[in-house]
Amino acid sequence: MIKLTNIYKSFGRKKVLQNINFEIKKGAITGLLGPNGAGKTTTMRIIAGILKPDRGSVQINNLYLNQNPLKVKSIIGYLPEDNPLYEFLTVKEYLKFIGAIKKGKNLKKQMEKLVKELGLDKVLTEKIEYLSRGFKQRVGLAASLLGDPKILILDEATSGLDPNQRIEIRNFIKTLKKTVLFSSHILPEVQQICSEVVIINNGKIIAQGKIDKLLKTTPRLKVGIKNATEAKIKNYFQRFSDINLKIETKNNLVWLSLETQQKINLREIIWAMIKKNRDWQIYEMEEKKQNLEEIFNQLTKDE
Amino acid sequence: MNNFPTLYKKELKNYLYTPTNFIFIALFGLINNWLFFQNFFLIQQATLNQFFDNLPFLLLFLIPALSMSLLSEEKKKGTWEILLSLPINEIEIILAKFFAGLSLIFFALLTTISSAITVFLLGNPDFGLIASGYLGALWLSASYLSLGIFISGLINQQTAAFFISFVVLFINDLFNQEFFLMKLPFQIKNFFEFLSLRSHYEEIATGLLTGKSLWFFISWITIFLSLAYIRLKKK
Repeated sequence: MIKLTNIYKSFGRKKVLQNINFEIKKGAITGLLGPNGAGKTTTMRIIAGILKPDRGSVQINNLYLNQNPLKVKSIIGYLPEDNPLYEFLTVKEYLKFIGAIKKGKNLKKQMEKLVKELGLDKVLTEKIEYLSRGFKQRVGLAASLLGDPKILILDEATSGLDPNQRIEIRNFIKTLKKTVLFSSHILPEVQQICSEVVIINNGKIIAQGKIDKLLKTTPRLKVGIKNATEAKIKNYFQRFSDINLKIETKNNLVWLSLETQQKINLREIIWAMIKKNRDWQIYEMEEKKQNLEEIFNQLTKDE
Repeated sequence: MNNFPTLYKKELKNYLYTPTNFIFIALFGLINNWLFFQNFFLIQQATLNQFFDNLPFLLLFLIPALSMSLLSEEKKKGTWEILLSLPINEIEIILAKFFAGLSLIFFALLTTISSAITVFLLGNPDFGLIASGYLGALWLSASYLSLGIFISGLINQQTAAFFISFVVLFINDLFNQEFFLMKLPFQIKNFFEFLSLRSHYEEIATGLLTGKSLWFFISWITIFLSLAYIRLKKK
């Protein structure tokens, strides 16, 4: 549905995107993550046809964006970061304006449906300028959905909203049954609504794939050992350079926190160590599942 | 060009929403009428010649003031992103802004109609000449506006866009001023005079609707709107 191949983009001397490649399948809700300035918004703007890449191609629904910009734009709904709106128009005027450009079938019905679903009926004749942030966000979302686009690109769609409003918008996005590219700083939110993620840092993709798989690729183990010494443990782990080890001693127990990016069975390594030191006893061993936030922190710190 | 009417309407609504536009127009009308009536009863001639002489200078201020925000405001507020993400050809955006701006200038010129009415009430002026004067003013305004739109697309800061548009148009206006032209060799003098928008305006305003002047205005407008389009497309 969305395919980016070898995308490069620079602003002056600053390389913003370097060799970006990813594919989003039809119906998938994909999170685009990265720290500030990583290149998320530039990537979204390129997909939405606002910016042109210096190199590389964007394919939407098997159409090349540079060859069919108008056709491609007609199947994309885009909600930019900060949700800019024509504030001098009323909600109704704004939606009519966007609808008139996007065209499509049953536009009037579509508009009525969106207004109802997003609770905009109360503010339909009000000037956008006077709406609360939450309502403005709903107007932006309604506008992006007009014309029944196959693809939705939502750049920080829930930023600045209160928790209740965030839940509402999140639930609404989940019900859409569209291909969605969603960026957010709130990682638990991404974990809740997205099935896949693309993590970008310094203009490069550093991880991508299904969230479940990504969580499995970074095993973490917490082990408490009786009768052991920190020095001996450190000495044993010297040979495993791919394992990130943290040690602390508490109440006569040595606590180990182990993390790795590699496909290493941490349990086996611990058992092998215990076998070598027969007087040591495992007091507790717990495999900790990482959340997206931790993975994100780890990946973006490493870069 | 399917989206032109929708975009044009949006631009007009934006103008209606911006009170500073009305202030500029009101000032333009007031100054024009004041300058005209100051000497009108002294010279005792039922003519708008003086008004049409002053007009280009006042348009030098009015049009950069109206055009300075046309593209830069969209960029500043971020609505640019919305427009560019929609299935619109960039030329439609430029043309909608140009014609909406021209409509507003037409409205501004209407505020000077009191001068024309007075002339008709008190004397027997040449209607054709007055109509030519207004036609020339529209062509001149359209040319000023096209340059203003291009500069507004080039420079994000509104004040800078105003200043640069004003300076460029003022320099162009100098090409028709005797004190400037008399210092130049004959061949160059003709060339500079040809480049001056005011000289073509004066030709039309004096009733000489020549192909040369029309061609010049059309070329000027096309060049600057095309440059604005290319600049937009490049992004």
